Amino acid sequence: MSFFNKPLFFGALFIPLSGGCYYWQPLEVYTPNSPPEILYSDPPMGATMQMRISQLNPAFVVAQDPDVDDTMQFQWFISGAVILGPGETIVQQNFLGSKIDIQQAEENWHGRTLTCIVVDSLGATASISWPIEILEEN
Amino acid sequence: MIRWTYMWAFGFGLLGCADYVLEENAYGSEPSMDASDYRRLRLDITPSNASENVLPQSFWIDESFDWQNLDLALQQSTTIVGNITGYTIYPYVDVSIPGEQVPVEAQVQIQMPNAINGAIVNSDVSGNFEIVVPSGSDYQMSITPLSPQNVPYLVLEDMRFESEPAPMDVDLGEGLPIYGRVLDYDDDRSATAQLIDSHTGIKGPQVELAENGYFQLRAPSMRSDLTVRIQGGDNTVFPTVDIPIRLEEQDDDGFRLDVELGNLDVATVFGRIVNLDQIAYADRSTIIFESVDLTDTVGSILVETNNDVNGNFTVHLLEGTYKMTVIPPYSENSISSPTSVDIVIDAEHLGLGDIVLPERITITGTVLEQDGLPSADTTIQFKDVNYANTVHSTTTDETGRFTIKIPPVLMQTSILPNTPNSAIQNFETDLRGDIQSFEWTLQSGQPLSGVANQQGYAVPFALIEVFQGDQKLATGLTGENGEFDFQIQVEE
Repeated sequence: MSFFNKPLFFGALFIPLSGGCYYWQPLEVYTPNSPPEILYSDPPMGATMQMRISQLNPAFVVAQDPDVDDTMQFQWFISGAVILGPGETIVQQNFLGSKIDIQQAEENWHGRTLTCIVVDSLGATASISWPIEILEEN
Repeated sequence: MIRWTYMWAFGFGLLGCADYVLEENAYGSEPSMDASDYRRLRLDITPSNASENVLPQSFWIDESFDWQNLDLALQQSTTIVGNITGYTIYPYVDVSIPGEQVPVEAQVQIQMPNAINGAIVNSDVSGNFEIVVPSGSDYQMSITPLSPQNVPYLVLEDMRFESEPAPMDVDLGEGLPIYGRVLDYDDDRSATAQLIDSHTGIKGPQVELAENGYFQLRAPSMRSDLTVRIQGGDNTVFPTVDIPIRLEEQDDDGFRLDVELGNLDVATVFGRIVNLDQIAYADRSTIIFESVDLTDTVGSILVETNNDVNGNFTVHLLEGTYKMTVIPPYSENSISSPTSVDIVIDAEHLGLGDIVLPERITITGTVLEQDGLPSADTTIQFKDVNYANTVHSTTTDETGRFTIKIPPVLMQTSILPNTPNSAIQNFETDLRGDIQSFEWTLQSGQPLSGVANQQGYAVPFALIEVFQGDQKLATGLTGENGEFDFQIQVEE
C-alpha cells in the first residue's frame, strides 16, 4: 500500500490571511489501512503441498485483519493453471479462515504453486504459496 | 501364522511354488461410523502450524457426551518404519529362472476407516518406508507395489500402532495369480487390469494389458472376495468393468477370468460450445461424457476433453446414452455457467451442434437475526453440487442484504453467522427456478463447544469439521486456547 494512496495526514491547513485572522478547517483524521495477515495454515508456510490425483487434497488458512471493520475475501489458485475460487469460509470470532478441497489435481500441476490470497475491503492483500508436488500413485 | 502353499502354473507349465507367509488378524470390525446414526457426529480436527507434531484426527460423539463441554484429546504421533520385499518371477523371459526375492518400491497407506487419522507415503526404491500416524487402533494398512508390479499388494485390518512399534519387515510373497484375457482387445487403446479388495475397497496396482489382451494380477494374501477392474487409460475409449470374484481353496493354482466387453466400435462426436449470444466460447472449459447406458457394451465409460479457442471439441465414444457436462473455468467475474445435456450416440459420426452455456444470474437476499433485525457480516456460501463443487460466497452488509452473481444450478447453501449465538445452516437451494430473491432468518441450534488439546496443551487454530453421516454440518476453527464454540443443526 503506497503512502500516497492511503496518506496519513492531519487535515488540510487553510490559512486565509484576509482580515488578519487565522482559520483552521475542521480536522480530519485518516487512519491508514492495515493489510490482512495470514497467521496459520495447513500445510505450514514453507512446506510443500503434496497432492494425489485420486484423492481429495485439502488446505486451509487462518487470517486476521488488524482493522476490525474490514471484511476479507479469499481466492485460491494454481499458478498458471486454474482459479479454484474462494474456498469454504470459516468464521471464528476475530479470525477468518478459508478451506479448499482440491478434488481433481492434475499431473501437470507438479512444480507449480498453490496460492491463497486474502483481500480486505480496501484492497490490501496478503498471500501464501506452496510448491505443488504430485505424488506418484497407482 | 497362516501358510498357503500352491503350485503355480500359467502359460508355460509348471514354474514353481511359493508360500504365503504373512501374518494378520482375521477380518476386522465393521466401519465404526454408521451414516444412519443421526445422533452420532464425527468431528475432524486438522491442526495448523500453530501446533507442532499434532496430526489430523477424528472423534465421534453421541448423546452420551456433554456436547457443550467436549474434551477432544488428540493422540500423540507414532512412527512406523519398515522394509518391503516380494517374490518376482520371470515366466516370459526364461522359464528356467524361478524368480527371486526383490525389494519393492511401494505406496504405503495407513488409514482408519471413516476417519482422517492416517497417512500415505511412498517407500524408496529399496523398499524402506517411514510413516507417521496418530497412535491408535482399528487401522487399515495397505501396501501397493509401484515397482516391480508383478508382486501382490497387501491389505491388513485391525492394526494397532502405539508408541515406538517394532520395525515391519513385509514380505509380499508372489501371490495367487489371477489371469485372463480381454477378448477383442486391440493395442491401439491402452487399458489396465486391477484388483480391488471388496471388503475395504483398497486397490492394487494397475497392470497394463498385454498386446493380445492378456493380463496377470496377483491376489493379496488372505483376501478371498475381490473385484477385477478392467479399465481404459486416461481418455481411452474403453469401458470400465468391475467383475467380482471369490477365491476358493480349489483355486490354489490360480484363477482364470476371460472378459468379453462387447461392441468396441468407436464413434466420433463433435460440437461447439457457445454462449447465449451464439458466440463461440473461447476459454478452456472441461467437457465430460459419462455413460448412462452403453449399447451392446458392458461397463461404463468416462471421457474428458476440452474445447479449443473456437469453442470446438471432438471426442471418441462408444455407442450409448451419455450425460454430457460442460464446466467453464472458474472466474469471479465470469458470466458463464456450467450445464449438462443428455445425448444419444448411435452413429459412426455424430455432430452435436452448439451447446449453449447459460449465464449466471443475480441472486439477492436478506438475512435476519433471530430477533428479526438485520444480520450484518454474515457469510452466505453457495456450492454447486452437480458440477465442480465450486464455492461462491458473499457477505451481508449492515442492512443484512447481499447480492451475488452465480450459476443457475442446484446449490448447497450455507449460512455462517458471525457470532456463536446462531446455528450454521445448510440447505439446498434450487436456482434453476424463478425465485432469485431470498429472505433467511438465523436460527438457534445445538451448541457444540469444548477444547482441543494434546497431552493437556491447547491445539489452537485448528480446523474443525462436523459431520453427521456423509453430511457436513459445520466448519469451524479452534481459538487461541484450543477452544471452540458454535451451533449446528442436527438432522433428527
